Amino acid sequence: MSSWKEFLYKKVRVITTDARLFEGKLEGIDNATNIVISNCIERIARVKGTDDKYQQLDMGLYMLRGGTVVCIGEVDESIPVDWENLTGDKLKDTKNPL
Amino acid sequence: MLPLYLLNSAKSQPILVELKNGETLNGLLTNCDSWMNLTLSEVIQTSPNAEVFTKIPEIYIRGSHIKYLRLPEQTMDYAKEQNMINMEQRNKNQNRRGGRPNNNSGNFNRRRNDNNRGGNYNNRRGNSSNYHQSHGAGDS
Repeated sequence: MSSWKEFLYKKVRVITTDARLFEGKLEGIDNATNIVISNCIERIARVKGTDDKYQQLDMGLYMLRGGTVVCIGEVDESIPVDWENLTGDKLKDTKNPL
Repeated sequence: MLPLYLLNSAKSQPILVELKNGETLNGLLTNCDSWMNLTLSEVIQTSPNAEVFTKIPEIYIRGSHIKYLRLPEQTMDYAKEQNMINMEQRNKNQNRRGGRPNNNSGNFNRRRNDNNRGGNYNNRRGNSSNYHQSHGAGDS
């Protein structure tokens, strides 16, 4: 059933409230959705219509506080992703200023 | 591996904390609790725009203000090691307690009797409190 248990010790991608994307092995998670990711990398994709280069930052062992996690998904490694040439619209963060 | 357990075993190690406002704090983790409140020592605080750097000898961080933490890579191995040691210790203790199987079943029986007695005791207390209540009602 819908549970994070099946993601444990697998490669996951996590999107956070400040619109960042992290990828790595999910080492631990608790009831508050605090997350531990080992060999974590932050992927910064190119934004459509800009000359920004794709960036990949090594973050090592990373612990995300539950409140900042938007979603967690297992990585399907059978699907190749061309990160260098991938472009997209910038993700908005989850804050909604009035 | 629970995140807070890992954090506990990262004590006295250098960590990086980013707060919700974008500030980052680099320092040695001196203590943490189950709300992820932290105390750091020998801290370098970086402003959200990475322009101002401040050196602070000691700082307390409220857990709810944290966005994420970067821990040293070896923390994971260290925590696993500690976990193993704890497990072994627990097993040893369990073996010592369960060493006498006959005695064990005797304990179980006795505990059941205790439970029954406990029930009686509770019932009696229930009666006596009823008595007090009715007594009080009579007074007023």
